[in-house]
Amino acid sequence: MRKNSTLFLILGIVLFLIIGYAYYHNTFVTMEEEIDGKWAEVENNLQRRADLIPNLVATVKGYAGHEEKVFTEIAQARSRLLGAQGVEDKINASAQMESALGRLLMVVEQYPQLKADQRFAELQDELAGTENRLSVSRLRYNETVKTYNARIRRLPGSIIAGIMGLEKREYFQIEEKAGEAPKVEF
Amino acid sequence: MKFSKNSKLKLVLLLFLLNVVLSRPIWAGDNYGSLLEGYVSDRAGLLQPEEKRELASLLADFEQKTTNQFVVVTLPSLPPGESLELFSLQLAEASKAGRSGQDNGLLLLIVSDERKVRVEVGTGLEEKITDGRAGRVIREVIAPAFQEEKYFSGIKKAVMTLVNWTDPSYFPAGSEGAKLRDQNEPGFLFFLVLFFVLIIVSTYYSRIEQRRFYKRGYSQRTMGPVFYPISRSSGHRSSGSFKGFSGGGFRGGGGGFRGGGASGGW
Repeated sequence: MRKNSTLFLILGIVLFLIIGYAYYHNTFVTMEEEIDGKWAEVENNLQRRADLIPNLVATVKGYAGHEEKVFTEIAQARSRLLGAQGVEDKINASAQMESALGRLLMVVEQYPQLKADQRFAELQDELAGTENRLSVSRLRYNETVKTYNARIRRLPGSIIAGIMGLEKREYFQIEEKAGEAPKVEF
Repeated sequence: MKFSKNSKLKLVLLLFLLNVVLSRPIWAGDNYGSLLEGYVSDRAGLLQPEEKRELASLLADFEQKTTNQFVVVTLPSLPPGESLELFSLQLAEASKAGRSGQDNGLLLLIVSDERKVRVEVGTGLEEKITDGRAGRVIREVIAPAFQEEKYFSGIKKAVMTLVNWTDPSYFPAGSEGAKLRDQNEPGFLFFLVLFFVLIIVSTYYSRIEQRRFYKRGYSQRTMGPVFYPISRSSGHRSSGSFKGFSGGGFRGGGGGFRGGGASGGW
């Protein structure tokens, strides 16, 4: 009788551990998937922005063809963004693109005719919309990462995360001007 | 981790700030919902009650026929420190406009004191109402009308234009909405010319039958078919299918938004 109850106790503990492990394991797997999904959305938006740029540049060139420097900068930033691999690289390339775009928009300011152009106005909207989508997807990605990073470091989850070899995920940080999403304003 | 201590601190600060923004008690969660009352929530008082009803019944009918859920909200001002885009996104999500999975909702937000407008487009409608188009509606329809303080006609025309882009078959040919659609489509001119050519040719060949031609409902003056003169929205109003209250029947379907659309002002 006594042997039996010890056996049951051990079995109970083992079962409890297995269930607990499975629970945390599944939660983490789901969360990782979620993060990857959110990151994919961020990448989509980066791609979308990169796709918009040739059109934008072509329109600006029509009015301000001699502003070579800005166009080269944009082209460089774009090819870097398209060639970027991995989260960190993409974040950096994206920041470079943002500053290049900022300079392009400063150039635009000097050409009132360009600002009045119908097609350019729509491209501006597309770009502004993409920037907005990007900051929304970035926000959502960061929120998910934040939850995940907290979960894998809190007990008892941290033990299971350790066994699974999970590491903290990187945030998509906004360069320097922290707290303020880069905004394209015309 | 690759972050320095300093940047980590900044990050924590940033996230803290974001958190504060996202969970500000006055506007958080249900309080967004309390701003909303069905299809048309006129918190800024820009519309007459009957104008509001007309818009609401148009939007209700549009939803019933196409499942797309459009919501119009006017506010006197944004909560302090809130950006138009972030606020609009959260309001759109709170409204749950659009079916879940289809994400075919749309929010037209007007902030009267700040003279700002935003068209927040549901993820599923982004292809039909591109950011460029959303911006065009603001620049070409809303801004000119609002500058003359014609709020109702501006909103109505904007809604109709957006409806036309979403579902070109919604407004029957000849109705008020269809005319608006025709104005917005450059390709229409071609069809117009073709149409007139056909009419002229056919009248030329059927002069003998002209009398019967008119009897069938063609008007000589316009040389075109006369369709129902009453637009669908006003016709709908007389049918009394809405329940008196402008918000009657609205139920958000849980559509998703991801920041598509355009912002502008007047």
